[in-house]
Amino acid sequence: MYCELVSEPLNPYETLEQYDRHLRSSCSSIGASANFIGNMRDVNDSKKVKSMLLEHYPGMTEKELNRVASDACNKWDLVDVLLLHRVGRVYPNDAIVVVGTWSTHRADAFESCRHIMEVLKSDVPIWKKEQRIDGEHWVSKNTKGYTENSF
Amino acid sequence: MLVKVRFFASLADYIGRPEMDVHVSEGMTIQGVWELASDNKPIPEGSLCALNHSHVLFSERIEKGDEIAFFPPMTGG
Repeated sequence: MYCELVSEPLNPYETLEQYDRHLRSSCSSIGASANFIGNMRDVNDSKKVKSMLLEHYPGMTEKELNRVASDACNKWDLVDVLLLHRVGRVYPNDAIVVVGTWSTHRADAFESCRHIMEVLKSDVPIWKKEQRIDGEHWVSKNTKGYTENSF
Repeated sequence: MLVKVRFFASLADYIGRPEMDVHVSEGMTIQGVWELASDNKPIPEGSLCALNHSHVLFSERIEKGDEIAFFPPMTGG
């Protein structure tokens, strides 16, 4: 399991590929992996967003990231979890979050990957401040990612 | 006794500073700490709190040397 807050631009596909290769060098029972990459959009609530500042709570944010990943490892049968989150200034299209889960069977990888993202959004102390043409604004709540009947 | 109080994101703007040391009485709840630190400002709806880097309720009691944090709902991810 590896979790990190990152203040430099993320290269999600390269990182995931390297992590996957490293895992498979010592394990051949991985039958499934699921990845999620969250990127910054240039529009929110119909307003153009130029950049965002991702504020965090040093000490607690790292602790919560690790807890979320650890809980997923306890709840599902996982070979490994990778969880990276940007902090600092980000721009449209920048990757903000990267989640990777590896397991023997697909259900564990799929479900744990989604679970990590949903819990991260509600429990990990990170806050977005948008820079728009009309000034800077704190994002007051995340958009709803799923509805009850989404699948 | 002295405790450290921290405010994040919109709550730091609301209070006007990101942190302060506050003299409190032993056994005070986090709700009480908010009242002292904010000079009795209303708590914005949905605000959350943490004690020594763990999520807790406003009814949690504090001890000497604790770090208390107040923040709005998280918006990461």
